[in-house]
This record gives sequence, structure tokens and C-alpha cells, in this order.
Amino acid sequence: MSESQQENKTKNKVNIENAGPCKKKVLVEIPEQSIKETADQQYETLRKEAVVPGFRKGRAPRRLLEKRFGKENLKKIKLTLLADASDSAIKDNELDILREPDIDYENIELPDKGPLKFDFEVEVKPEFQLPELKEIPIEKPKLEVTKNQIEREIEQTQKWSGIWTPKEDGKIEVDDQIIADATLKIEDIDKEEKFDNTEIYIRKNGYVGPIPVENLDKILKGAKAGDLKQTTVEVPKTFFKEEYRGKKVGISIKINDVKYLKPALLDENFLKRFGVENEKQLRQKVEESLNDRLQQQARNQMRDQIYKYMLDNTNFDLPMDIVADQANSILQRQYANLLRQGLPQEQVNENMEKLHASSEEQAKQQMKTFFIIDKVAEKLDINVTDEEINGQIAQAAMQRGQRPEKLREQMAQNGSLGQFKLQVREDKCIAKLLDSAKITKVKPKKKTAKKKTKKKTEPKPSEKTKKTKKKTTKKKKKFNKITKKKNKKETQK
Amino acid sequence: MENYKVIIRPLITEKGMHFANATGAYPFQVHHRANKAEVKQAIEKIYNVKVQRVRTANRKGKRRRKGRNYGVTPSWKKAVVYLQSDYHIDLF
Repeated sequence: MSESQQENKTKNKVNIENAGPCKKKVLVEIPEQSIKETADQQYETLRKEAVVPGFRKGRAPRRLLEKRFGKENLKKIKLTLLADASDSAIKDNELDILREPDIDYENIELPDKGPLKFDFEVEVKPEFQLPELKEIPIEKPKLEVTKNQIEREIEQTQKWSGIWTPKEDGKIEVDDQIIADATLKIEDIDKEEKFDNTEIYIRKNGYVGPIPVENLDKILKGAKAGDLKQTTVEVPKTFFKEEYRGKKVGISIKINDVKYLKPALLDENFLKRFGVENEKQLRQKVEESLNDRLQQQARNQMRDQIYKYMLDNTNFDLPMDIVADQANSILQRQYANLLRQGLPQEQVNENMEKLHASSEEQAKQQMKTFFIIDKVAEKLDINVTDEEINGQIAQAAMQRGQRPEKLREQMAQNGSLGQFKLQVREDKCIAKLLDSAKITKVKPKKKTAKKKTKKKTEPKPSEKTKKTKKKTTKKKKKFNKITKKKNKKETQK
Repeated sequence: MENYKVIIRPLITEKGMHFANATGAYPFQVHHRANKAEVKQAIEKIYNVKVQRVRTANRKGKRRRKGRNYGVTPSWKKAVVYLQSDYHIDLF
């Protein structure tokens, strides 16, 4: 059977035409002889399986089979002919297709006599020349860990492992936490929503229950436990809870307790948590981890440079249908994300129009990098073995705290294993390109400048705040004096 | 009797096909009251062939049981028609 099929394939007449960027039109003509041969094969297999009353299995005559199963069998013959012919046309002409050809099976009819002619379009990989892959000019930023960074990191970890402790003086300040009974009342509606002993964090844009409150720090600053504070807030029209959307809400907060974040002390327990014995070792450990982070940052920057070099130095047309599909899938993902965020339908539709343009650009970029990396892998003969993938999966599983076999199973089920393989291959390509790249070490400019400005600007607001504080205290003193004088006059009267 | 009432259906089976091709004997189910002459005439008219001879046989209905009830499938008449050697019925 296989020999006769091969003969059939050689007999088919195939003509290939260009049909746009990365698109080919394949015209195929299957001769009558091969149609007959496939029909015979098909009926022979049918005869072996078909059960016809009055006949033993495999003994029914062809004429009877044609009469009984003719229509269905003709469809089968047509499908096998079209599939075989299209497959062989693609293989024989070495077309590097991107997805299965879209053949209109239903509208193609098998002729009673003569050859079967049909055509289909396929999207093929773009043809282009890669730029020079050796000695790609790459700048490696020289990033170093400073003492300041180490101190800041330790402070941050101390804060993270700190404890909310009740305040002695009880006055609320920014970044404090209060335990309060909050009631929300929508204007013109009698219904109230109560939150007993709810935690409220004192920030500029804080939350009382689900409601965002601007300048919450100003409203509550200086208040004490037992105080009652009230304010009204206009809830945005995009709010996730429909009942509050676009309405004025009266908020009253009865403060029960005021707490501040007491950073953890650098004591034995704290050091033990990091597996070190003294502060020196802790600093070393923090420096190592910061160093790793900076190295990763530098690696990412170099990686980005490789991508930029490749994208800038290659030029080719992309298969537009696939780009459109990709853009569509990106758009759908974003749509689902917006809906999950709780935005109303109108708002989502407005956003979608904006996202439409960006998603197409994103899809083009993604497809271009995919084709480039694919060609690079081909040129540098980079393959990913199953062992490598298993190793990577094991690493990922370790990070997630899962068993590798289970993660692999999950990936195979949700179809992300293919994507993961591509990712591993891409990483290998980039690593190989970086190996042969011409790397020059450069001092990071922009980021340090930003940091410096930040540092310079940082003290300014504190000075300002000090000044404003002084001003406010002066004003307060004046106000107190005036009120005291007034009170004295009244008592004298 | 009408020709189409005489011939009920051709018996297209493996055995029938074999005898039709080997000896030119074609089996049919015919009306239970039809005689050989009527069968010959009907076959010649319907299939436009020349019949040499006809053999008939009365097939008794088979006993069937459904629960406690017994029944019988209808009895029928079979006719084997021998054609002259130059003729052939296309159904077989």
C-alpha cells in the first residue's frame, strides 16, 4: 500500500505561486488513475469491515457496498486524497509551513471522470538573512552594591518582620494602623454598611472597608483612640461595587486602637531567621543577595541589547494572518484581565479601543523575535533535549514548592509545555550569542543619576515639611493665644 | 395477477450471488399464490430476460416466542429462476 501511495504522490501535478508576504498558493492536480486506486483501497478496507445481511464478513460484492455506503465512502476517498496530496505537495516542495493548510474540503467535489483539481493557501516562514552573530557589540553595566543599599535592605527586612504595637501617646501619624468601627452610608439611601474592628492603614490614598479615600492621612492625623471622624467621599464611576459606583458616600470612623509598626530588632531571633550568627554575617549575606540581583539585572540588560540588535538588523515581512491571530489572543487576555479587575462593560470597551493598536504592535514584535530566534537556533544548531527540559522544570518546581512530575503533567495538560520548550531554546540561543559577543564594561549612567537626584531631592521635602510644621505650630500658638484672650475677656464680663 | 405483485423481492445473498454467477439461477421471493408460469412471465417482463425454467418452494414460517406467547413468522414462497445462458440480471 505504501508503495502505491508513493507512486500516487509522484503522479500529482503541483504548482506553487506567491500569494503575498509569507503566503503561497499551492495548485494540485490528482490524476484519474490515482483516484481509482485510492477508491479501490478504500472499498477493499470497507469490504473487510462491513456487515451486510445475507453475506459473511468480507464477502459482500463491491456493487452492493457502493449502493449501501457509496455517499459516505466517497467523502472518505475525497478526504484521504486531499490530505495525502496536500501533505506530499508540502513535503516534496520543502515548504516550511507555520500551520496546517486551510483546505475547503466541503466545496471540493470528486469528479466522476477526469483528474481532481484543487488549490489551497499556506503560510510559510519568512525568508530573511540574519545579521552577523559573532561579536555583537554589547555594553555590560558595571553594577556594584553600596553600603547604603545594604543598610536600606536590612531596614526593609526589619520593617517586614516588624510587629504592629499599640501607641503610648495614641496620636495617629502617617503609616500607622488603626482598628476602628467604620460605617458607610450612601447619600439619599437609608441603608448603612458597618465594618466593626476593621484595620485601616494611614496613607495618602487609604481604604476604609472597600472604599478608597483620598488624603486619609490628613483626615485622621492627630486623632486618638475614642475619637470619631467623619468625611464624605465621591466614589469613582469605575468602582467594582455597583452599589457605590459614582455616588457620594458618608464615612464615619470610630477609632478603637492606634498602632505603629515596630521594626524587628537585630537580635538573635532575627539573625537566626536568616541562618547567620552575627550582624557581620547578615550584612555579607544581604550583600551577596543584592549582588545576585544586580548580576541578574545586568544579564537582563545585555539580553535586551541582543534582542534590540537582532530586531534592528533584520528586515522581513510577517505573515499577517498569524500576527492578527496573535494580536487577537493578546487582546482577549487583556479583555479578560480588565473584566477580572471588575471594570464595567462600557469602561472595558473604551479601554479595548486603546489596547487594540498596542496589541498589534506587541504581536508583531513577538512574532519577529520568534522567527529570528528560530533561525538563530537553526544556524547555531541549538537543540533542546528532554533532559534539559526536565532539569528546567525541576528548577521551576523547586521554586514553586511542587513536585517536578506534577508540574510537568500540569504543563502538558494546559499546553504550556511547548511554550516552555521554546523558552528554554530561546535562553540557550541568547546565552550562546552572549558567549561570542563583544562585551564592553560600562558604568551605569541613567540609573545612578536618578538615584543621585532622588537623594538630593529626598531631603528637600523633609526640610519643607519641617518648615511647614514650624509654620503650622506658629499658627497654632497664635490661634491659641487669641482664643485664650477671648476666653479671659468673656470671663471678665 | 400483476407482475409486480408476483415478484416481491430478489434474494440477494452470498449463496444467491454464487448460483447466479455459476449456474444462472436467480432466487426471488414471490407471491405465495403465484405459480411457475406467472413467475416466468413476470421475470421476463420486469427484467427483460428469457427464462429457461422455474423451480418453486414453499418456505414455512419459523416459530417465534415472546415471553409466554408463541407466534409464527409468515410463510413465503421462494422461486429460483433459471435464465437462458445469454441473459443476466444486473442485481446479482
